[in-house]
Amino acid sequence: MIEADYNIQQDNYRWTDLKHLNKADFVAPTVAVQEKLLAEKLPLLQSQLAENSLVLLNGKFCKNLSNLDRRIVIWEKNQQPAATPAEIQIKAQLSQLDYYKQASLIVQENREVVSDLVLYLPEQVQIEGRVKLIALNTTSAQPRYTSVSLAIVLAKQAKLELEENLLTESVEVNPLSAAPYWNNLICHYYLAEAASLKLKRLQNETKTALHFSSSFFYQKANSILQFTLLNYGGATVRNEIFNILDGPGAESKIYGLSVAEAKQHFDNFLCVDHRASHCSSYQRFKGVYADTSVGAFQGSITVRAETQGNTANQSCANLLLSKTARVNVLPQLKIWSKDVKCNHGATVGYLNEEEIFYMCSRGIPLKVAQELQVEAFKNEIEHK
Amino acid sequence: MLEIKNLHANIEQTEILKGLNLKIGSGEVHALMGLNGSGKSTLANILTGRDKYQVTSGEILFYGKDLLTLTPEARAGEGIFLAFQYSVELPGVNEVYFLRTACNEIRKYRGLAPYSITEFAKIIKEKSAKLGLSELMLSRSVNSGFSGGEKKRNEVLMMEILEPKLCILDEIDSGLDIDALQVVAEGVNRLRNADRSFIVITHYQRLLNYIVPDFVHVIVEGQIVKSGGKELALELEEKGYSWLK
Repeated sequence: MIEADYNIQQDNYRWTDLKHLNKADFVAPTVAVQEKLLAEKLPLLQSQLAENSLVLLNGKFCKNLSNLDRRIVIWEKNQQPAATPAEIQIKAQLSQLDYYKQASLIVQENREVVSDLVLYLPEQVQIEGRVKLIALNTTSAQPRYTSVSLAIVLAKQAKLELEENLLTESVEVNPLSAAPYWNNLICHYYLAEAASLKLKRLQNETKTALHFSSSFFYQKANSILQFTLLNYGGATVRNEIFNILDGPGAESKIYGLSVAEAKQHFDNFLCVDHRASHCSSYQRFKGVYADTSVGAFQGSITVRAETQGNTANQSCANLLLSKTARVNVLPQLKIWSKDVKCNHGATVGYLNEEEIFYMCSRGIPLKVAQELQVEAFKNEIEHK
Repeated sequence: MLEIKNLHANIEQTEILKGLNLKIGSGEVHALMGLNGSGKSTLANILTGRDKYQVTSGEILFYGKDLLTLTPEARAGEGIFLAFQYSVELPGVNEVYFLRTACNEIRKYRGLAPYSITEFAKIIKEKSAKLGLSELMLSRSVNSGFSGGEKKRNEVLMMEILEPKLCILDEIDSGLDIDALQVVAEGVNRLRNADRSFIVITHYQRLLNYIVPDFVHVIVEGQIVKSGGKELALELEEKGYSWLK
């Protein structure tokens, strides 16, 4: 049985109560269950596969269903002789950081362990087109625990565009009587000098899922990161994003969108650490909250004292669609350097009545006008 | 076409319109002039159904229908169009998509078949070219990043596309240079016909050189105190409004 550890930085969890994680006995699927599921889901998964894709079923890598570009090297945990040098380097560097040590319950569980799956792009390998990762979780009558542990390592001047699709299917049980499941993601992304990663994650799991993710982006000099996180599914969702800019000239753009309804709870926790000079970071998060849903955004930017010429920009905009929806926003700047350009902003509001009236006065029905405005609000992030 | 009878209206408990009467026939152009705060824009907003204004008494009949019972979108469907003094920007809403949605909603209201994407593209290309609106502008969000002149031309473009029966132009001349004013006025004049009427709200006689009205009304403290032909505008230009109080 998997249990959550409540002793991790409580302050960082101020808006997400972990206690309900222990209300059910979450059990990881056995090898036999996995094999049976794989046999059942094989035709479906095969039909969804595109060129250059990778499949994880309940967190486990399905080698037979994956058809990645041969230049991408894949290491599975039990097959590689040891962790890759790059991965050791990442973990060693990350483990010195205070916030990594106490980052989340997921890291508590796995801190010293090498990732289950490592994708490695050798120097100067630039993959054309988008690589697709399908992470399919299945529900059952019993509370289930799944864990994804992935590292993506881009060597110097390597380039990758990746789309991660997180989905749920009810195969063993009627969806209405499916027990909740708890999905943990631990993803490390290492960008060596001048590497480039464009990553889009669509979290579209079932609305009873407990989704916890920790994503660490570690960047060396002149590397470029664009990460877009789209949250739609899940009952309780907590995303932790750590971006460490550790080489001069590293750039990152991180976008997030949460679209919540009913009683969904989405909590995005973001930590950007400028550890080198002349780096730039940009974070733009948006949330749309309907019914009695709850959102949270806690974003910090740290600029180290010894650095120069950093720029950082963070903003968080939220749209409440009902009087009972709630959002908590806490931007934090920790600026220790004197030579820095840094700003942040946060807004929380309702639909704009001026815009709605303008649309209605052009013949557009009220409901359509409201939907158009919500779509327009989401567009900026969804189409990144 | 339009009949306003003894209209009283408030905004936040302050009475703005104090018994306004106005009749407009098909194909007529009526200019409405008056000082700031006299009630011109209030009337425009009430005609289009803005809910922050409360009508306390009186009635508005549009082709015999009680306009005050209709929603803003139903009024647009019936043929009321307001060209806004301050056009609203809709960030993230594509101009062409917005116009096609609006146009097809109005066509649906009028029992007409919707335009396909191809049909609409042809229509908008032709109409926007006449107003000097580039394809680049049409690819943007509605009114976002448009100059003052472009916004006004965009209002005229919407008016052409939505084919209203009553067009209310709320200070469409504000912030326009002479060249832009001519383009906007030409667009408006192209739309004039025997079935379409206009209410032109303005402070200045200059606009009326380009959009020549059939009638001019002066509104003072929420009532129309004087009506006349286009020469009344010239008289106002010369004497101001004080002699009418």
